[in-house]
Formats: sequence, C-alpha cells, structure tokens
Amino acid sequence: MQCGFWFTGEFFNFGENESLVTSIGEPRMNLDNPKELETEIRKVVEATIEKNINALSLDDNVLQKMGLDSMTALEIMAAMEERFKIRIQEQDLPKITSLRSVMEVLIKYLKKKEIKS
Amino acid sequence: MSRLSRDEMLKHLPHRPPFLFIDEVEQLVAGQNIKAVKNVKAEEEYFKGHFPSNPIMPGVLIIEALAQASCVLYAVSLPSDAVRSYYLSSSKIRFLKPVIPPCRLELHSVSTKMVNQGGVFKVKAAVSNDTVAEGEMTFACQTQK
Repeated sequence: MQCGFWFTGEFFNFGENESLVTSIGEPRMNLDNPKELETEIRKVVEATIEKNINALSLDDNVLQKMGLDSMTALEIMAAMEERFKIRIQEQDLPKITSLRSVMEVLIKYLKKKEIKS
Repeated sequence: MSRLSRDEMLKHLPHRPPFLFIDEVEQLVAGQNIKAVKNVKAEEEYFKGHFPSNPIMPGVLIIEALAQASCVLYAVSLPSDAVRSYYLSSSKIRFLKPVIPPCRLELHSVSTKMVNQGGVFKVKAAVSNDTVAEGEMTFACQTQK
C-alpha cells in the first residue's frame, strides 16, 4: 500500500522501508562537459539561496561572498542530492565552499553513480 | 514504523511547556519521516491575544511545532547521549489556511538531509487532511558540554 502526501507537486512516500520517491525525472549530465555541470550547479545554488550568483567566480567562497551562514552549505548539499539523485557523505560537507569545490564533489559522486549503473 | 509515547518523545526533545508544541508521535520511520500531532485547544494562553474573540494559531507557532516534530525525527535518526540544542536556521513556509481551535494539527516532516551539524526537512501541517502550511526548514544541532 502506498501512503504519503503531496508537496508542491511531488509525492513523498511514507511507506515503511521505502525510500523517498519523487516525480522528478533522472537528470542526465555529461561529465565531460564541465560548463554544463557548472550551469546546473549555479541554478541549484541560486534556487537554494534565492540570490543571483552571476557575479561569483568558480573560486569565490559562496557563503562568505553572499553573506550566508554555515547551515546554508547543508541546504546546498541537500539540494544537490535531490537534483542529481545522489547521497553525499557528511565528510564532504566542509568542501561545499566554492562552485569549483562543489563541482569536484559532484563529479566524484556522479562518476561512482555511472559506474554502478 | 513506530509510535512514540509522550515520555519517549520527551526523551528526544529538549522543549518543555509552555513551549512544547507537539503532544504525540503517531508514526516515525527513523532516517525518513515523522507524523506528530498537536491538539490545539482554545484555552491555550496565546489565543487570549491572537486574537481576542477570534482565536487563530500564530504561524510562527505552526513553524515551531513542525520544527519540534523534525527535532524528534532527527534525534531518533541520529541518536546521541549528549544533551542537544536546536537552532532554526531557515524556514520557507507557505501558510494556506488558518488554524482555529479546537483542532488536531497533524505535523509531517520528511528528512531531506540529516548530518551531525543539523538537518534539512520538507514539512507540512494539516487539519483533517487539509494542508494548512507547507515548506522547508533547516536547523542546526549543537551538543552541550
């Protein structure tokens, strides 16, 4: 039996022993095209912090430059997991600083995911 | 899926009256989700002022109730012997309908991410299956020495 509730268009499954299921499709990402990944990362970060980050370089510290607290890194991490359908280990949380370091973390997990599939 | 008695629930939550806004935990799946309940009564102190002759549960208290439910989910999912404090870091909540006493306010929280520093949750409050508020929240967790 499926039980759960709707959340702004996504169904969150409450079934026991079942993982979170969303209606969002599996994103396809070409890891050989870093610009494509950067664009996606920028979109996710902007949606999470609700601020325009066009002026940020790849190496700027996102939290410092945008005047955000450290917990925002956790929100960005969670948003990346949701967007790319991966689970990022807690040990990688301190690496959520610049767009480049986020990209490096994501590439690591997305490559692992590719190997598994 | 488990249910927690009030005593069990309080073992996982530092909040106490008059700032306790969940009464029971009906369903909890560690690491995943929780459904808690707050029985909203007309006699509660804050209704004297919010508003006289027109009691409506303040939105900030709905957020607090959702946060407390999320705290229980967090504490059960990442157990620790240390005394914890929780600090709401952000909440993006949309309020859809007023909560008028007496009613049974259902508090749903689904974990998006939980780590030792805190958690990110998708939350929803409902009365008689009608959504009254929904959104996301993040809190930090600190252990007291």
